[in-house]
Amino acid sequence: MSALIDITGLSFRYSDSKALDRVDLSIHEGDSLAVVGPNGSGKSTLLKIMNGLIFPESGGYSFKGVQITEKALKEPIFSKAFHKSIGLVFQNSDTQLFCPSVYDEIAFGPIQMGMDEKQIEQRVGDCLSLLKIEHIKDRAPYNLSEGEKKKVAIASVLALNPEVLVFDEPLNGLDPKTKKFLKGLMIEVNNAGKTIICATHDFEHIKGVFRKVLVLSEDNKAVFLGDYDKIMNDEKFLLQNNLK
Amino acid sequence: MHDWLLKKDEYRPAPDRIFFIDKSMLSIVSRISRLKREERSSTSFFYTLNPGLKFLTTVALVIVISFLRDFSSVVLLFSYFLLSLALIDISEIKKIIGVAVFAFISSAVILTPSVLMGNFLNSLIICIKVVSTVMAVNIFAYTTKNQDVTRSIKTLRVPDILILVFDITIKYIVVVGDIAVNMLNSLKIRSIGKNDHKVASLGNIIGFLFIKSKKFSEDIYSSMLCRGFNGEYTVKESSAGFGLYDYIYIVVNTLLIAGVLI
Repeated sequence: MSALIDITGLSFRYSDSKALDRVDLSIHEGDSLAVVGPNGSGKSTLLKIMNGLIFPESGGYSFKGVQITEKALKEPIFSKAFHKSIGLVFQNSDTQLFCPSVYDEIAFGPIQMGMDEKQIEQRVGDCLSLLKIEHIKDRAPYNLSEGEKKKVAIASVLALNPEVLVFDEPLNGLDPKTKKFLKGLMIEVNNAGKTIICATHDFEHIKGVFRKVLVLSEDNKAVFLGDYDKIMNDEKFLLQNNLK
Repeated sequence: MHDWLLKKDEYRPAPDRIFFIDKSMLSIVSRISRLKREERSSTSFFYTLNPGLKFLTTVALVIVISFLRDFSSVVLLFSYFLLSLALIDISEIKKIIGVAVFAFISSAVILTPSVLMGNFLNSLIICIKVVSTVMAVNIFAYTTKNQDVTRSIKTLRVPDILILVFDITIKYIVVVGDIAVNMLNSLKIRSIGKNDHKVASLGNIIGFLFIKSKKFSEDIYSSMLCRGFNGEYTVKESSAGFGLYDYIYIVVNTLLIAGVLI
């Protein structure tokens, strides 16, 4: 089976520092992959590249066999279809929510997809109930708690029904109950056939969610790609890579 | 799990122009990156000068050039700024020339009626003065770190509290700018079809940034209070001493100013 996401020799630099150094990665449909690594190891950068927000300095990234380049994403139809297929939940939910109410936020994608009023209402209602946020549907997103904002951000991405869901540090700053809820949701979404990719530090709360793990080192290299449980039980490796 | 989540959507995006997001983003990113110019590695002449001295000299040169009426003196100062420009990094020369050319064209357009009335020489002098002033200020701005710019204002006895406001403003322009870029990124990746309300989306982002800025300002004030702020703030004057380049700079500028004024 060919890979859904194929990354080869990918490197990226910000103006003053290296962020990723020759990273190779391949993800298949239905996979669940955790991207772990210490601060500054390039996790968020990798996710941004996967979502076509920034472009690698060298190396290649292909999605469903098509190379994702700046030029390719300048073509509006392709760009929209690509962004429809891969949804990103930002680390800071504040930067993801820009509509006047929670309902509008979730309906933003379905409206653009040209759905009729009834379909939009159903899809938004389903997302609200899935995330258990029906009671806040008329509230302004900026007035919500961090946990509620995160749920709204996830609902707004889920409403697009993407094939791949990318989470950037989804559990940061959340209370244990919300963490537990999001863990269950990630498992449920993955069981529904969606591919999930998640950058995180929070190993305790994501146990049992991911089958694969990519470990990025402090010098921005991929030091391990493989079975999640195997590496997370390797105390020595975790200590060596500033993960414990 | 709901049915529609279990299967793939049959969806083909409708054509729509979304370049406004990229354009807005580029414009914010370029402005932020100018404010982020902190890590200067250049050791060439202008970058190593004492910031306070550079600031005072720039102010003095701007005042002198605004008083000059003699064409040859104006051209002499203009030549000096061109020479100064040659001493800074090439990427920054390009940016300063871009701004200077824009300033020249703008002032030339404004002065066109005057030229048509026969005041060609005076109009030319004004244009050169405008360009020279723009170049002087930009050379100072591009060769000085933001923190040194604010510290150097202290040499003019500007109240410390104003310097604090200036410092915080610069810092939060960058912070709010980063948030704006992330929000535009979010708008971009969620714009998967036809958006008939582009202006409304941008309006929402601007509104959110306003609310966020207000929250930032309240938080920073609370944090200052918690750390003992009582309305007094002391800015430390730049501790950089004078080196050989500074003495050369003083001699050259003193001779130049004396030369054009006498």
